[in-house]
Amino acid sequence: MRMHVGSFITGLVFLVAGVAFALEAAGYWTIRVSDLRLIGPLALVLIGAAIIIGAMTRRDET
Amino acid sequence: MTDPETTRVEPTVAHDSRHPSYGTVVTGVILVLLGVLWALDAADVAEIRLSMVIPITLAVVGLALMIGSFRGEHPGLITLGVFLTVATLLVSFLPGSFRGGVGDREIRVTQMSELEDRYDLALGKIQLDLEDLDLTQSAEVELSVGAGEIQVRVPDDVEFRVEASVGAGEIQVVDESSEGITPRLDYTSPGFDSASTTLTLKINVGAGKIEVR
Repeated sequence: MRMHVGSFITGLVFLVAGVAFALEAAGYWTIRVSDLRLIGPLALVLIGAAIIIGAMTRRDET
Repeated sequence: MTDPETTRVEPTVAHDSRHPSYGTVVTGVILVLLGVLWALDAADVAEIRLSMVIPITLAVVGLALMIGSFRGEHPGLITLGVFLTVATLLVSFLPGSFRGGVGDREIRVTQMSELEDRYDLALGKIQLDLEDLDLTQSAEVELSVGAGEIQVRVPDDVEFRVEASVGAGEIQVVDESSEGITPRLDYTSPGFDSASTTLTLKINVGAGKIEVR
């Protein structure tokens, strides 16, 4: 069964973001507007990870 | 007569309309969960806040996407996730920033009893003058403006800490400054840790300027 890497990584991002903001709403920590500056580098890391995982998945299939 | 070998059609995986798609099932499950939560809130069984429901729904969509990634693409779920992400950001950041009305407010506080825990303004300017405040015990004050400016004047003889962040704009605290997109500045006066009474200011502006002196 072949995993669709894009969907998996996108799902992971949604899951982490959802849990983070749910915990914030519950008062476990505070996310400030300035923390949004981390979105850029995090997106870069995730895109890179998706490319690596995608490439490894294709190599395993050949 | 045609050769059956050459006319053979490769079997295709057709979607069986009798079985709902994965995205439809997930959407249905989410709607059922939301309905149950809404009913619990309406019946006063539990207090369900939007700021918690939307991120949890986003997490459920994310989990469903991860599980469903082994069955192919799910553009509908991704679209739903993007909308929920935007809604999560709006719910998380806007309510705190966009409440308290519109206009300019000049507030002068001289006694502890007059000092409030927080001051909010949607649009405009807050000038909080604490210069003559008789700080008899440590205090923490939050200030928030959606778009505009916050100016705070702290007493000369009080040690204070400032945690300031702006979505886009400028921050000036005493002799330190930061500007640009999402600038953040934390400042602690030299004698803060050893002082018996201290003042902590948590200041947030969506777009504009923060000035503490």
